[in-house]
Amino acid sequence: MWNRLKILRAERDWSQAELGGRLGVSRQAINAIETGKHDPSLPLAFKIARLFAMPIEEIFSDVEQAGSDD
Amino acid sequence: MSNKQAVMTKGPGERAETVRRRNYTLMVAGFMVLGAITGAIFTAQGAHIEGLSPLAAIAVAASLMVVMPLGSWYFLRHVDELEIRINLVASAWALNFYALAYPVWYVLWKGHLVREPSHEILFLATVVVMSVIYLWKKARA
Repeated sequence: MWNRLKILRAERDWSQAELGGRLGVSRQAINAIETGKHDPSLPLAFKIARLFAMPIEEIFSDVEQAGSDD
Repeated sequence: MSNKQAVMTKGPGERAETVRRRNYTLMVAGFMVLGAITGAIFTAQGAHIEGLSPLAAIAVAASLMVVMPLGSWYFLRHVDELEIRINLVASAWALNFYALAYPVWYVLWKGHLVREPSHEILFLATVVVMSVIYLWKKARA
């Protein structure tokens, strides 16, 4: 699954550990989500959406959105 | 910058992550110490050579039946979803390994090709498979 987590995190100048701590998951889990090695559960996806105050579909997508952040 | 200053400049998320990692390390270290103590007692008693008395066998079996499920439950309640997934994948590989290895060895034994299946070897091999898969998945995550 494609996601904008790394971009959103960078915009806030947060480390992976910082984001993980705010979400209650490990730094490794954030890295796995960002690199597409782990798809978050729905509860975690909702938590991420709440943290960034955005709809889930603006963070996660089942298709790669090339250039959408330009 | 000293360690103390570095901790002070961490955000709330990083501080929470530091606490989570410390708790995780303590929990895993606790399980390892418990396992080492159990193994040492078992070895010191010479249980693998002479066997246990019925009372000692009941005590060890009852302890395992309490400690293992409770330990697993506690562990899975206090780790994140990635850790749970890695544990489940490693467990599934180990179960499939055992479900394949035992009947294959059993059939070969019945065909008088190999010696009778060894419970200790099968158990240890299953634990090794689970550990290797766990470490492999953990390293790749």
